[in-house]
Amino acid sequence: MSVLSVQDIRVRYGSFEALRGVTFDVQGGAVGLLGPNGAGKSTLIKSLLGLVPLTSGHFNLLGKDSRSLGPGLRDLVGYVPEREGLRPGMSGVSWVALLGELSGLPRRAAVERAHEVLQYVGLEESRYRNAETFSTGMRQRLKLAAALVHDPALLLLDEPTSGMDPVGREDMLELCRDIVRLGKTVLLSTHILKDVEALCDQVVILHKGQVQAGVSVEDWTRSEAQHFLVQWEGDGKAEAFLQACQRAGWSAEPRKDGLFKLVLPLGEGPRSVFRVAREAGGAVNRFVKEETSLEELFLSALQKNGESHAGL
Amino acid sequence: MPVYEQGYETYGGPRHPLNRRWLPLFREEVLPYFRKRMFVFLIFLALVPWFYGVALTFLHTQLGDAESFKELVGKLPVVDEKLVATLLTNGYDLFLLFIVAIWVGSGLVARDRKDMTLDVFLGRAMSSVQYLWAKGAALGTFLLIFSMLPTIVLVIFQVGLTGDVGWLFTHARVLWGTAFYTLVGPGTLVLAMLALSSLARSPRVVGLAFIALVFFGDIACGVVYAVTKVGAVWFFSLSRELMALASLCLGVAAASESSDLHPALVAFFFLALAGASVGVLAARFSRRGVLQ
Repeated sequence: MSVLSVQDIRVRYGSFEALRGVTFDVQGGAVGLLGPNGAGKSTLIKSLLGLVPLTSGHFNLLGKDSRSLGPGLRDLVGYVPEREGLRPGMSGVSWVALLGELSGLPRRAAVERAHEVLQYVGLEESRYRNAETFSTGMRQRLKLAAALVHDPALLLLDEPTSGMDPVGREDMLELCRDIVRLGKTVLLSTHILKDVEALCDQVVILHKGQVQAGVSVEDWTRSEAQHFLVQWEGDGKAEAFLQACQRAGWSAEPRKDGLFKLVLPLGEGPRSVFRVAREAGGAVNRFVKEETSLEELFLSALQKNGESHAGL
Repeated sequence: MPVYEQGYETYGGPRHPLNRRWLPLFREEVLPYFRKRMFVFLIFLALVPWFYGVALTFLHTQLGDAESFKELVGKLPVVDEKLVATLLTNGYDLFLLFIVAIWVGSGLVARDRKDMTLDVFLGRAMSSVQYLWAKGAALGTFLLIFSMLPTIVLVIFQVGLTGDVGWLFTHARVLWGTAFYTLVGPGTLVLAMLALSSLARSPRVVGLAFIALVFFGDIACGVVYAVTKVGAVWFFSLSRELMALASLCLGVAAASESSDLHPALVAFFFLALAGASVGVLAARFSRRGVLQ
């Protein structure tokens, strides 16, 4: 059973359609939600929380239809907003306990639970401090604690590491990994692709309100074109090697350091590179297989759609 | 200590039903005001005229039969519908009522928008209606201190000091009239403040807008009345409408000729204000514009 099954969701703001038939399935674990600015990521998260009404479509959460759950579905979901979202003047523990109570926990249980989750996120020593005095990293942890206080099955994290220093970011990602290990599902919306690479095993790429791609990072890496860095030396000019590559139907790009960046379609490998090098009247002196980063995959997914990625 | 060694406990305890989720939010809206000395002092000031009402009852019962005071006490008003209408809507108390409405009401939704906590609250298992109910109930609680609560206390003193339970029946309108006034007058004020507060991100802007509507509205009506001498111009004055409503609810003549609004106009005013407020709230929350 899918933890989250989104079926043809559409959201319209007046004449603008923010989500245009979004469909994807989340089986569990950590899922990255990627997309340029204005792709509809925040709208999707708010739709899943019921904060933005759906124009059409629906989603199932833990097998239950969102339309039948009503506001009660938010007991199953924890939300870490991108924006500040803290009430000035309240201590960390009071704030988390209040949100626990709003999720239905009795007062005493909410306070106890607030202490537990604040300890879990590493804020046990600062829990009585006014949340206004917290650093950016502490605020992000506080928001995570608030999202966990009612023990939800699904966590929606909207830019949880934004504004954090590298150490804090790594700690936050480690917390998220631990949450996934506990069996909770995490939907991570972020601009930081390294966070997605570090945490997620599935990616949903949104673009202009539509799902551009939705596969596991591993499968996608395997299915995509292969990238090589090649040093070619021969009698003729480098142009000869470039032309031979183009004849073979590859993308070849000379770099300033004298190397060529080759992109080969699936099925062709190092042997083909050596063969083409010989045909161009030279030989390969250096050969490096480049790992395809999520960033490249993400950009290529957008470029396939003929769009620029200036919004990133 | 690495975070993953700190442990995470799942929660399997009880949860309150959905219809009780608004209560903590209501509590968090109300309690902080009682920690503000200035606010408590303001509430005390608002109750001063009601102490006068209690004192009147005391004087009538304790000194009314004494020969030396009989004449003097006889000139003092007794606790009845007219006195309660005066206590409810005298200029002093209305001014303080508006101050409290601005102090508490301007931040109801606007503060959550400013602090960006609105989607955090609405992201919990609580409907928009419950959220608004919690916020409205908080302001309503304070406005009850200006209307229903002191009336009940006054009635308790009246019956307790005189020992005359029959007073409750002869002056039953004091209670049900005040209840109806509270429901319609301060109740509409709560709706209006909620609507106004949902339109802005800054409580200060909401407060200034309310001041502009109420106080400058009164001044404008006063100027027009001075020229035309037509009582109906007070239709646009919230304070005069409240005075007229109290007079109608308690079945007494208007305190002044200029307050004598036609009952149909009063009913239309409060219906229109409540309707417009509900319309604004419905539009802001159903289309989620309030989250922007």
